[in-house]
Amino acid sequence: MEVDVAILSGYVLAMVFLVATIVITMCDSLRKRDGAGGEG
Amino acid sequence: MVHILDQIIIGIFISITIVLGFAGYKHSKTLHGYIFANKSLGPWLLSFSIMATYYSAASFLGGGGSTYLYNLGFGAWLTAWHVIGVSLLWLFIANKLYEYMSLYNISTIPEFIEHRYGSKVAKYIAVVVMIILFMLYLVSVYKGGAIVLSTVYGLDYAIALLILLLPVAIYIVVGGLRSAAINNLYLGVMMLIAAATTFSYIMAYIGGPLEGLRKLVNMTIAGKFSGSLWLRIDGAGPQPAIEKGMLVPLIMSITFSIGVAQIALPNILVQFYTARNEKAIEKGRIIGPILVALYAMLMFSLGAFCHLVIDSKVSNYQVIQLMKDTDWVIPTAVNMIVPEGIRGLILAGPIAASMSTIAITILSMVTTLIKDVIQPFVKLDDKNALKFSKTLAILLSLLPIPFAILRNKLIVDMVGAAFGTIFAVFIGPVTIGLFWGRGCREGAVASMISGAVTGIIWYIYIYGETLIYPTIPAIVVALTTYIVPCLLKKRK
Repeated sequence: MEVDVAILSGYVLAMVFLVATIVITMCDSLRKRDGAGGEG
Repeated sequence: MVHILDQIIIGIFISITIVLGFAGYKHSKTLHGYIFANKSLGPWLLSFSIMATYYSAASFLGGGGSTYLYNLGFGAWLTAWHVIGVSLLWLFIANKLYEYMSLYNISTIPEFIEHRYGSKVAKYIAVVVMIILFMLYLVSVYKGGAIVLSTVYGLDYAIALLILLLPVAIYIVVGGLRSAAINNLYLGVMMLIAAATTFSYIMAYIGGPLEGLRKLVNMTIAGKFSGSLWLRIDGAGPQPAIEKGMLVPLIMSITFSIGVAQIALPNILVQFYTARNEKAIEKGRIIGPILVALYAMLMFSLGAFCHLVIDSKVSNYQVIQLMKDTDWVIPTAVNMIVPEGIRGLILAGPIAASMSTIAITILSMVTTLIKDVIQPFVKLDDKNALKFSKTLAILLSLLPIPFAILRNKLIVDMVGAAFGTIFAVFIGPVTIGLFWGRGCREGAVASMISGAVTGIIWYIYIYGETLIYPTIPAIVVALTTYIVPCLLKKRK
């Protein structure tokens, strides 16, 4: 049983984008919090 | 018609939306409260509302059943494009649009276009295109929900349409956007429950996804197709597309158009204006994409596995018929393996998806007509403007009904073209115009008109021949006509 790479890449790309969005958002929040702390 | 227990469950589920409608009453005593919920939406309400607005019944019926005909590449790329679209929406567009609209106190997409390009002509073109295309789009959303309701209760289709609309009309009149958003949270949860339940029952029946794939490979479908074709991106699909060697472009063009459209749909974008503050959007950046991705992953690949549920119990002729009309694949599979009582919970999913899309789309049209068309010309005090908005909401919810009942081919074609065309019309002037400083009024006007004309003409006359989904050429034409005049224009 072999699933076409072009099919698997769709699912992989979806996961990559989802994880990247979450990571970018969390990093952004941390950066803002640190920035606010530094200013304070 | 389904079992009485399922009918009761769906009846209760619909009644709850009316009760929830009163939760927004406090916020809807002024026009601002009615159409913008006093800018009070937190991250959960906002994320669920946007997700539930974007996914209509088509996502459950068409999206769920599509891989019964198409190979799993359709499901994989439909999932991928939805996640890419929602990521772009929340990461880049949400905050930028919120800041722009809040800074200049802009509350509708046509108003954004007027302010961004300094052109009333561009604004009115946006209003006209938006109202016409949303009206046509609503026809397809009405149809999806009403078909499920008429099947559930064994009702006449026209009566099912009214039953679908009545609770929506009540809660948007009583509580405006706040009620619609609270209901969208509830309806969004129902959609996710329906998707998770459907996924679980089908997976339990076939022994899990890997076992399902193994069984699918060894199957012969409709007595002539090898199941292994469902594991190749150039394998299973509509026969004309396979014969013309156009299956992969067809899959990619359809899935891209349906998945990424969220970055340019006015009824989605305008909801960011109603966010409580920037923090609500920041938190929504995690919640929103997870909701969209979860629903996509649960639903969009189920159709292929439904061959393992349905095919042994029906004739090859019936399998071919289902492959021609894949909207019935999920309801048929559910009917075969899900016990009474739970079926009601699942069939509530597409009804919920329809109601949530209808409510927000109607309210975004009301907002546009009141703010962009009526208030600039007619002086209305707040009380009368509020009354007028509610009357308009009722009228707009009734307008698509005749089109949803008529079977005229031109109307059916235009309805099919509407969703992708809205994407093509607004991607340049709104989404790109938000970031690209050189965007100009000539480009914006040309882009909206050319996008609308290309999308509809291509769908009606060229799509059947080329098998390239109309959104792609419409976007190419719309973006070319947006960018080229602006590049040629001398900088001031």
